[in-house]
Amino acid sequence: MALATVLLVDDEVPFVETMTKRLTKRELDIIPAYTGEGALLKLSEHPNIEVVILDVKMPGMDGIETLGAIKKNYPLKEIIMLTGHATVESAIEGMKKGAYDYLMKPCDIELLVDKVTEAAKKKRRHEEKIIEAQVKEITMRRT
Amino acid sequence: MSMEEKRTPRYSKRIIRNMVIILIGVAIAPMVLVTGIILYRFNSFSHEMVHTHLEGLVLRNKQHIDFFLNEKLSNIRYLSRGFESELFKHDTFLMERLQDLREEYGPDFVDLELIDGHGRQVAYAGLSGKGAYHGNTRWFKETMETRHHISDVFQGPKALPQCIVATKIQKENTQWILKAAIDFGSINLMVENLKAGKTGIAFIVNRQGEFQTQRPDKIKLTPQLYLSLFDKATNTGQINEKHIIVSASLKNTDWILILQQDIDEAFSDLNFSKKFAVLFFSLGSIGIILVCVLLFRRASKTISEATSEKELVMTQQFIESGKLDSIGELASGIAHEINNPVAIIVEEAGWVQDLIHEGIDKNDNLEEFIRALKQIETQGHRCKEITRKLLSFGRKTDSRVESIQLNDLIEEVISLSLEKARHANVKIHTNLDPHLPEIQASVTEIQQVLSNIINNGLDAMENKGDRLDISSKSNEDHIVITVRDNGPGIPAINLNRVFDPFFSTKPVGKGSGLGLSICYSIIKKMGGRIDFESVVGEGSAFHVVLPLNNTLE
Repeated sequence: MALATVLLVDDEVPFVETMTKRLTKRELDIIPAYTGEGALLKLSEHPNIEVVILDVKMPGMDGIETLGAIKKNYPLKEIIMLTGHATVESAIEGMKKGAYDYLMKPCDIELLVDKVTEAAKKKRRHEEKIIEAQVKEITMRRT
Repeated sequence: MSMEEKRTPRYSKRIIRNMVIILIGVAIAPMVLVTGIILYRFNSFSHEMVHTHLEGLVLRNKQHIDFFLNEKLSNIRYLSRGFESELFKHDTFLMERLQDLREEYGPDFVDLELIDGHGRQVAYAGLSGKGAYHGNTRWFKETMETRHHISDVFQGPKALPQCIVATKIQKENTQWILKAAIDFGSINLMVENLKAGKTGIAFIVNRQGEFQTQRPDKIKLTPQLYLSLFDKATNTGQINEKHIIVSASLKNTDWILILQQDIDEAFSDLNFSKKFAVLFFSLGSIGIILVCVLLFRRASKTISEATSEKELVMTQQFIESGKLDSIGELASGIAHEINNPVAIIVEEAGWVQDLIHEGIDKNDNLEEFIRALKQIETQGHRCKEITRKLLSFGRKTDSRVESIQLNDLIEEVISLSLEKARHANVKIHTNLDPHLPEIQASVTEIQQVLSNIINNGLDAMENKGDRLDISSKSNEDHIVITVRDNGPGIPAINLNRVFDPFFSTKPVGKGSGLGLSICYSIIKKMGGRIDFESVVGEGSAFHVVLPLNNTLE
């Protein structure tokens, strides 16, 4: 079983391909996407995605816009922003809009795996709490 | 809209004009004051002088006339003291007395006559008055009434002017009058000689307005005028717009001596001084105005030259600061652009390590290893290309003027902006004139202008617009580079501020507001201009017009 199911979004195709291989080797289930719009499509196709690794600077719908759209439609998905030096400010803006964390490109692969794993755990805990709350509510209704 | 329209420094002209007006005012006001005071004082002084002079003349002559007539009267009175009717009744006795008077007091005695209390002639010594009756004459009645009398002048024999001096004698209840006719010719001569300039005329007139001396030509005396002159012993003043008059009452007669002179002549010195003062004032004012204008023209020129020099230096500093700005922006773009291949290289290298760690001979790890190496090579070349572009931009940081082909430069700048355009989802289209002549200019500066305008176009299309058209064309005199976007356009309120330094519609921190201002400075320095047109909702176009025969060195 994979550590987490991850959507990797970046407009640099070779980067996505290599990262996919490396992260897969580290027991992450990677679904690649190359644009913001593509990411939203993949999220609708794969409801099991837990964490999104999102590049900030992309043509068309950029990282911040995509983050907004994801958080709006899938508030429980955790998002890790990937950024170059020039877009750190954008990444911080992303944090303010609900991103879990951000990493600078190029990043240490192990650090990224750790962040993803933590984010996935947080997401699961969050979901569990929601389920517990729902169960409690149902039980209370029955009694 | 041309940038030249909004750059005319009218304020400096206005300031200089105001300063000239103030200085002229400050310089002329004291002159007006001093000239006015001097003229006023001189006017008063001059009037006083003229009046005093004329009064002096009149009084001196009045004294002569008074003396003359009084002397004649006194002579008669003196003669009457030794009156003995028996003696005086004889013509021969009177003739002897007449001879005595003529010898003693001058030839003015025309005749001598003894008249009884009824006006009948008793004795006569003279030429043509024998047997006359005087009972009805005014002088007889006056003499009987007042004891002494000097009559008005009348025409005697041979049309000679004469007057009568008479004295009453009271002797043993009998009244007599001793009377002498006096030749008035010497008084006439004296009055005629009483000249003041060319227009000054003198005459004697009695209370009835009758002239006692020869009537001068062009004299109009109204009763109101001469009657008013009798009120005071002396009068001095202006009687009308043209004449000044001085009068003096004569003693023992009901006459006044009048001296009249044209004002123009009387005050000719004053008028001359006035004219001189006006001339002096006019010349002085013209001098002050000329000096002020020349002074300020020179000052204005000096200030203008100094400002131009300063402007030139500032423009250069401005351009330099803009260059740093552009390089900063470029560096930021390049850092991001280069970061992507570097990230891929790092990941590929990591992947290679993963493969080695797993065993290069396992599965198809070797093929993957080779692919990764190729990818690293590819991305390395990508980095090299980016640095090459950067170097081509960076190596030309000096402002040296050289022959340049603008099309090449346009392509170069576009290649640097491609990444930005890709992220902005903007397609750049070019339509470059293949026969564009070379131009003398600084590569760095032209790069700066094109980069600024193209980046502005891309920034403008962040939310709206997807096409940037860049064209070049030329005619005999100019090369025109047009950068047209289909972005949101410039709102009318900002049209006049487009080239203003520090004016920016970009969010704080995103733009310094110096870009187009620097472009303006650079193109102006080259003798060219930047025109622009913009329609809200449709887009903007900037036309960089460069002269082909600019004199840049």
